[in-house]
Amino acid sequence: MILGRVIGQVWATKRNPRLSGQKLLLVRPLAWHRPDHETDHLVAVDPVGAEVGQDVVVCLGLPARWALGDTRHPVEASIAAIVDAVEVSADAARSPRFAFREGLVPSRLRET
Amino acid sequence: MTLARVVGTVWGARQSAGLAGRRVVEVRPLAAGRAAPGSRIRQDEGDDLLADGTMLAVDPLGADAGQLVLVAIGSRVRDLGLGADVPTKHCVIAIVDEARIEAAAGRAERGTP
Repeated sequence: MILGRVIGQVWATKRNPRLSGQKLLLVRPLAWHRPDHETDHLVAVDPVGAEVGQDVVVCLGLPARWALGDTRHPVEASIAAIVDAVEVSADAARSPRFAFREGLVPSRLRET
Repeated sequence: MTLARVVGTVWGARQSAGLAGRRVVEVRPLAAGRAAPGSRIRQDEGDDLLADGTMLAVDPLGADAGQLVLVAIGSRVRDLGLGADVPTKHCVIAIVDEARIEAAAGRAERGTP
């Protein structure tokens, strides 16, 4: 799972039949775990009703289909949660191994 | 999934049996970081918001050059969207009418809620 921010929405009339009725959100990842294909955005199916500007937890791969309750959807990204707050220790937040993208920080980050 | 624009089609005179009769498109992914809030990306519009590189995807929906598509990546997605015999990990799962970017992607301040 990764943290991301919803920055927009995608409309598509012609789509795989198993995608019908699904809301598609444009998400900017706040941090990556060195994936095979790093992009600066994701399109994720949204079963939880997230809104533009909110930070969300995005499930990738098979868990993305679990989060939709049907593993036959041909998708690999879905929204699992809307983030209220992110809490990290001050030490971890300053560690170079804990890096949010340049200028991209959870809007409700709390250092303890 | 990744938002991308179809920039061309690829034909192979000799190809793997799993690709026979399949449409292979060359796509350029969106560079969302360049988009200002309020940007709208549609067919044939917003080329300045695309990344430099391209990738190839198998397209069962018949997208034309200039159209925006949604590309799903992975072998299981390929099984579900195309069939297990197709030698690719990149599958077009939707033709996009419009993508609307409404919020700034970053520049949030650190702080307590």
